[in-house]
Amino acid sequence: MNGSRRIKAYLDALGRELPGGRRFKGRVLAEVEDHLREGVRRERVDGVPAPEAEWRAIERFGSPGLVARRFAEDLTGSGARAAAWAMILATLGVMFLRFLPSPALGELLGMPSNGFFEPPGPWPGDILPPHLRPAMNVAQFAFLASLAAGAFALWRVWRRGWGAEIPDGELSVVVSATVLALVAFAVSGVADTVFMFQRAEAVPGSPSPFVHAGFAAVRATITALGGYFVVRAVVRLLALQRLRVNQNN
Amino acid sequence: MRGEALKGHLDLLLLAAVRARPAHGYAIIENLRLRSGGSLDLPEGTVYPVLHRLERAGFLRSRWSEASGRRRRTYEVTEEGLSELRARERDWREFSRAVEGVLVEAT
Repeated sequence: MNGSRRIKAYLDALGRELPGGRRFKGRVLAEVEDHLREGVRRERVDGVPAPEAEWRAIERFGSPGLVARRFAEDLTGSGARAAAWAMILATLGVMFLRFLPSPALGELLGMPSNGFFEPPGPWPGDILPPHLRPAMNVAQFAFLASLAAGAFALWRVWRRGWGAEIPDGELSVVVSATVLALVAFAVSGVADTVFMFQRAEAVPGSPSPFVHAGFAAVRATITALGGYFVVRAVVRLLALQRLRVNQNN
Repeated sequence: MRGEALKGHLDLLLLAAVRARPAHGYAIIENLRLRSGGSLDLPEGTVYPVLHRLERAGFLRSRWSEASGRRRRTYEVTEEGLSELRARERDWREFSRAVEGVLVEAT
């Protein structure tokens, strides 16, 4: 095998094992090729024959499997970090839309006194009809669970410092927490939507079902956005685990 | 020095290696090897994921250039990266002094 073929074979092997999209792989492979050719050039300047120079440059660089695994660990870390942020922003965003319009802020923004999605208070008798309670309880519990799981995931990545490497053992913990946050967030969204529709029927003066349908659509969009980041983190974690298994076999 | 022992300090070392001037991956690794008298020797390919991560974190920025007819990615440290480097340097010196103190005491 001649030298350039050896480098090409190395790049092909690395390209097969590297995670990520085409653009990312293109950048990495271009950098690696430049690195290997620079290594060969310097060996040749020292009088090393071409085949030996190429072999040395590749040997120093590390096996395609090792390099791909390090990239996969890094990509999984950034995916986990993005998923944790996405879930926190999703829960805080919904909390803001749903609950934050307090009388003071509502007044400032020209909102009804209890925000756009609550009936003007106090409700008749200010008592929640009993049949609304299960949906409300599920919505609140699941929402708190989502917030807690998202905050936990973010804390696990944040405490190491911005941009710092996330160790192997932490990755699955963080990704699992974001999955839990996403599931709880989705459950909370469904339960809260059911609650709001039930309440629209039971409590006079509640916002119309169209308002609730609009909010449900916004919430579903936020869930889908958060879900994109969480699913991407899961896919990256699974790819990393597959890479590790392949290397151990 | 073993690769695993180095791994935890790579961020600091790589930021320090590009502090003086922008450099491409090969030059950064060579710089580390030369300045450490050959002690900091690790599979060269494992440095690139760290460079990418530091860039994503905003500590480095990079751009393509042309050298010897090849495309080459050059990295340089950002203002944010310099602050991070100073903080990590401070931590390292404190840690190093503490360990040294214990070792001196023990001998």
